Amino acid sequence: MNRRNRPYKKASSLIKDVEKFLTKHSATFKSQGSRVSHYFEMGCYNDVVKFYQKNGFIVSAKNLFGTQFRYKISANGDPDNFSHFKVSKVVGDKLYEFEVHHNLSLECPYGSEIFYTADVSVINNGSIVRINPETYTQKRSCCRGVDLQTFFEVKHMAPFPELLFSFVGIPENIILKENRNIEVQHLAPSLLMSGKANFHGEKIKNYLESKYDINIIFNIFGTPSVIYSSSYPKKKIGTLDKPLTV
Amino acid sequence: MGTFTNRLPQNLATSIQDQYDSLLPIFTKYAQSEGNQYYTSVNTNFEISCFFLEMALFYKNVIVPMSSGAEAFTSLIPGVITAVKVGNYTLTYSDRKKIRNMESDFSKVLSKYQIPIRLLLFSDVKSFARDLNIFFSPEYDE
Repeated sequence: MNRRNRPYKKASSLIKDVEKFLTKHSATFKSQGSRVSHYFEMGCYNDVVKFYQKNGFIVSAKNLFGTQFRYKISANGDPDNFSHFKVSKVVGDKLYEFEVHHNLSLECPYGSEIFYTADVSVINNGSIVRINPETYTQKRSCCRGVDLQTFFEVKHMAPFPELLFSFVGIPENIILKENRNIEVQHLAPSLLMSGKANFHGEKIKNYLESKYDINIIFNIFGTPSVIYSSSYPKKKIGTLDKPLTV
Repeated sequence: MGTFTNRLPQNLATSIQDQYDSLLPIFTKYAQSEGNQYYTSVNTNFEISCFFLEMALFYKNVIVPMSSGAEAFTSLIPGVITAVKVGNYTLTYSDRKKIRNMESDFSKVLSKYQIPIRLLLFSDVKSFARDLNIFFSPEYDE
């Protein structure tokens, strides 16, 4: 029988190999280390796009700078200066087109000039508006609540009760639930977390998901395809129809 | 923890050190609980167990997010996007290659010592201590 190199018997050898590994790649750790939380957010953003790709949408990158894709890693900045993905699909005789944005400002559909910046948001194509709100000293670009299909909050941390409970308030105030058709479905507003939950965290997740139309997704590192793969059941919401104009 | 953190930027190193400092007392409490069969091997091999805890934190906080960054511009529309801009930094194919090499070298170390990835992706320190105990136990590879 092949016996494994038991680490507790070969501790010094394991430590030496790990040190060798760390030394060999120290330049990479130094240069990339400060961006790890951005990388996690970018990975989640791309996985949301991949969800649409897996569901028959055509994906195209928009607002590229040459062949460079510019991620918007903070709430500041004009979306025109950053790239995004457009996803399109024809169902029946209707063309559905959405944009997937990173750190886009969203206006609350229930109160004007109340904004919230979601880490990832899916909006109707071409629905970003430039407005001059009275409450701010400068113009800002945002998406109106009537054009927001769904959104995602990304947290590179382990779940804890306060965070899980506080998430449910956001969709209640940012997402319109009525007037949605089920022809094309989106993932329901979701909290995406890198950390794995303990028993209590799982219990809170199950409770909140049974009560609200949301997804709470843990352990994205351990289950990399969890956002877009149909093997992991998730709640979905329909597409927000445009209000009828008279 | 210095073995892992002294090659990292200050902010990240501090964050990982803080996590380790908060987990270590709980881990020690489990490991040294008298007569508890779930932690006997961890107790016997306490020093290397702490090294495993350090390695797990490093893996979760550094290697995994870097790997997802490296995949960011290749998985969706192959060939169209050749670089990505993250703040003021441009992540290129060359960076991607370096990250992939790093990831591959780490996998080789894990494979050499037959350390399962799931051991490093623990949710709480109690389950980590229990899994490590199973990993250390003689029955594990029989």
